[in-house]
Amino acid sequence: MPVALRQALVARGIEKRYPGVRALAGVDFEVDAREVHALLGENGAGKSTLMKIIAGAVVPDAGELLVDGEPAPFGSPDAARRAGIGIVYQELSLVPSLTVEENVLLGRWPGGAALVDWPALRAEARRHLEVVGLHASPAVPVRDLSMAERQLVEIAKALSLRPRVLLLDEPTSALSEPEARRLFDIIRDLARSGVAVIYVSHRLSEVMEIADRVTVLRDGRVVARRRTEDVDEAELARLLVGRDMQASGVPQSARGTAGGTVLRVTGLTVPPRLGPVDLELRAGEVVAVFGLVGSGRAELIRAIFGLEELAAGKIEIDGRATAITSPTVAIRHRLGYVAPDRRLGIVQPLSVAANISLASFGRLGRGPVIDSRAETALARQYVAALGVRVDDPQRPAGTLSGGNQQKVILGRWMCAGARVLLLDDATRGIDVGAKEEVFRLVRRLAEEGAAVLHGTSEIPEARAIGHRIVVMSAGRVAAEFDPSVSEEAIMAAAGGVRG
Amino acid sequence: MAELDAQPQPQAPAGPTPLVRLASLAGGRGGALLILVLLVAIFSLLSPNFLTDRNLLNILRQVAVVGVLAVAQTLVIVTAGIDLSVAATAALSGCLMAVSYAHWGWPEPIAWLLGLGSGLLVGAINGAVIRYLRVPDIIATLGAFSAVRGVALLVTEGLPVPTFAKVVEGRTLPESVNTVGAGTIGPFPLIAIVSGLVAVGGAFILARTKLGRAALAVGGNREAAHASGIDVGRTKFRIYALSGLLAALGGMLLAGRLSSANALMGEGMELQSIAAVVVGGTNLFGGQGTIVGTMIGVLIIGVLANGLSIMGIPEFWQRLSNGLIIVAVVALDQWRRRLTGERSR
Repeated sequence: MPVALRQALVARGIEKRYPGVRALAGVDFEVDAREVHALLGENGAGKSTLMKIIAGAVVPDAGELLVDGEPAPFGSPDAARRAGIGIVYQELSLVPSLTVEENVLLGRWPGGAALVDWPALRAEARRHLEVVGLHASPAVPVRDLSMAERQLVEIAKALSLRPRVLLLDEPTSALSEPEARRLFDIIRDLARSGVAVIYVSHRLSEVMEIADRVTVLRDGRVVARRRTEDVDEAELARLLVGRDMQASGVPQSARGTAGGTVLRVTGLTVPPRLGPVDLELRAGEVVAVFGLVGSGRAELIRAIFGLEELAAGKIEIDGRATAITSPTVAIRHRLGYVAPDRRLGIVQPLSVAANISLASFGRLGRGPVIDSRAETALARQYVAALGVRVDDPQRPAGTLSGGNQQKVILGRWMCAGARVLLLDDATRGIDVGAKEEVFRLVRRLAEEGAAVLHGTSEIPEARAIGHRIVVMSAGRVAAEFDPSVSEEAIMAAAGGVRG
Repeated sequence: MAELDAQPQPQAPAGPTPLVRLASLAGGRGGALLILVLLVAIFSLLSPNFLTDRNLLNILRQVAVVGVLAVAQTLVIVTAGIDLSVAATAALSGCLMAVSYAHWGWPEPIAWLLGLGSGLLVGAINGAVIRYLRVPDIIATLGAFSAVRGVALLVTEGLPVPTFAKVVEGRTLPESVNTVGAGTIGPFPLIAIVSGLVAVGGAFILARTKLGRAALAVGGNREAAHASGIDVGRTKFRIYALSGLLAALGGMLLAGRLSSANALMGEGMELQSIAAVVVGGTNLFGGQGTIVGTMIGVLIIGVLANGLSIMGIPEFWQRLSNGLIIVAVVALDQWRRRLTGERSR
C-alpha cells in the first residue's frame, strides 16, 4: 500500500453559525488526490453548509481551507474555481436552450471581444465531453438530453476548468441504475487521473461502492472517518444516525386504534420516479412515509392528490375505485395536501381568512357571493384551534412566520372537511417549536378520525409521529416498520440495503 | 385540545424609522392619492380655470371610458394576466352597435345586444385561447388587439358611423346611446355615473364574490390555487370574458360621447388602462389589487391631461409627462417596498 498520498484539499477548524443554529462546530476535512471521498450526513448535519463553504458560496465564521497546500480564499465562487475547486450541483446549472458545447464552456467562450471562435469552442468542448463519455451530439440543445446526459455535461463543464478537487452533490439522484454505473466508471477514471473527488450522497450502498474513504458529519461535527473497506453499511447507518439519537427517539405512548381502511392504492406508477407502490391508510392512523430526495416519496403523495399523471395504478377511497385526475376531484373525496414548501401552498397576498377558506369558499354562501361573515367566523375558529399567531385574520398570510403559514394550510383542510391528510415534508424549514406544534395538530387530527400520510426525510420525525413507518427507496416501498424499529434499520432500508 | 393561546403577536417590525414611515405613507395607493392631491393643488395654483365645477365635471367626463376599461384591466391583472385588447374591443362593440342600428336598420335593443355580445365574445375567445391553446395572456390579447381592430374596420369599411350615404330611415346613433354618452343627472354627467357604477360593481366582484376570490388566488399563487381545487383555466376564462363585456360597455359610452363610432376610436386606451391599474398600486404579477387604487390612477392620468391642456401646454409635452408620471409613481412604490421590506413587484 502506498503511504501518505498528497492531500489535495484540507479544511481545518471550519465553524459556521446561523441564527439559532450551529451548522458547523470546528470541522476538519481532508481529501487526498486520486481518491473518491464520500461526505455523509443526515439532513441538517452540516453537510451542505460545508459543501457551500468549500465551493465559496458561504463564508465560514472560522477556519482555513488549503488546496494543494495553498490557502484558498473563502466566500467567492469565482476564487474557489480559480483555486482549483470544481462543483457539480444537484440543481443543474445548464442553460437548456444552448447547445451542449456552448454549455460546457459557458461564460468562457473562446474568441475576441465580439465574436465567438466557434471551431475553437467546438474542439475544446469536445475534448472535455470525451472524458465523460457523452454519446449525444455536442451540437444539440441541452433541453433535448436526458437527465443522465445533462449530468455528464455538467461534469464536463466542471472538468473544463481543470479542477484539482471535484465536488459531486447527489449526482445519482436523477439517474437510473445503469446510468449511475456509468457515472461511477467516469468518477473512478477521474480519480485515477489525479483529481480528488468529494462525493455527497444519501445512498449508503453507492458510497460503499464508489468511495475509498468516508467522513460522517452529525450535528455539525465530524463523528467518523473510515476507509470504506473497514466498514459495512450497517455501521455507516449507525454512524450517520448516532447512538444518542436512537436513545432519544420518542416511542409514542398512546398509539391510536386505527379504524377501517379509508385509502388504498395499488400499483401506483408515475414514471420515472415512482412505482409500482401499494399502500393502505386507515382512519385514525398516521402513516409516516420516510424517503430521501429522489426516493419517490414526494411523487407518491402528489400522485394520490391528483397532482401527477398516473401511468398505472388504482386509488380506492372507502373501498370504491376513484379516478383522482385533479386536486378538485381529490378535494371532493375529502383529501387534503400540504406541500413541502409552504410557499407552494400559501397565497401570500391573500388574508389568513381567505387562505383558510381557499379550498372551501365555493361552499360559503349561496350563489356567486362569499358569505364573509361566515368566513370570518370560520377563520377565527381555526386560528384559535390551531394556535395560529395572528391578531387579525384579515392580515395578509405572507406576513406570518413559516410555521404559522403551515398551520394556516392545515386549517384550510380542516375547514374543507378533509378526512385524509397528505403531508409531504410539511415541517421543512420551520423552527423546532413550530414543528412540535404541527406534530401535535397532526396527531390530534388522527385522534379525531382523520387518516394521515406524513411524508418526511427525517428519521426521528418518522419514528415520533408514525403508527407505522413506510420506507421508500428508488420509487418503491422498500420496507415497512413498527415505530419501535431502530434508526439504523430505517436508514439502511432507505439506502437500498435489502434484508 | 390545542391550547387557545392565539395571542395577538403582530409580525410587523418594531419601531419603524421615520424614513420607513415616510416611505409607507408615500408609496402604494396612499402614494397615488398623495400625488393626485398634489397635482390638483398645483394645477389649481397655476390656472384659475382648473378648480371650477365645470372643469371638474369635465374631467370626470373625460376619464369615464378609460375608467371602465381600467376596471376590466384590474380584474384581469389580479389573475396575473393582461388584456391588451380592451380598447380595440370597445371600438368593435361601439361600431357593431352603431352600424347595425344606423346602417342596417336593426332595432335599438338588438343593436345594444350585438354590441355588448360582441365584446363578451372577444373576451371569451381571449380566455379560450389562453385556457385551451395555452397561449400566454400577453400574446393572446396582443393578437386580439390587432385582429379586433381589423374586424371593426371591415364592419365599418373604414368609415365613421353613421355615414350619410349608408344610413337607413335617417338614423343616427340610438337615442339611449347618445343619452348615456352626453346626458346628465343634475349636474353630473351620466357617463361618469355609469363609469362609477361599473367601478362599484368591479370592487364588489373583486372583494366579495367567489369569482373575485378565485381570481386573486390564481394570480397570487397559481400552484396553491390549483392544489386547493380552484379551476385556474375556468377562472381565467371567466375573467377575460367579463373583461370583454366591460370593454364593450366602454365602447357604448365612447360612441355616445363622440355621437358616432369608428374603428380606430379609443386607440391607446388599453395602455392608459394598464397605467392606471399600475399607478393605483395593483401588482402587475397578480394576486393583489383594488379598484379604488385603479380609480385613483385613472384620475391622476385624467387630471394631468386636463391640467396640462388647460394651461395650454402642447399635446407633445402631455405625452412626455404622462410617461414620466407613470414610471415615477411605480418607482416611488418600489422604493417604499424596499424600505418596508415588502415583496417588490
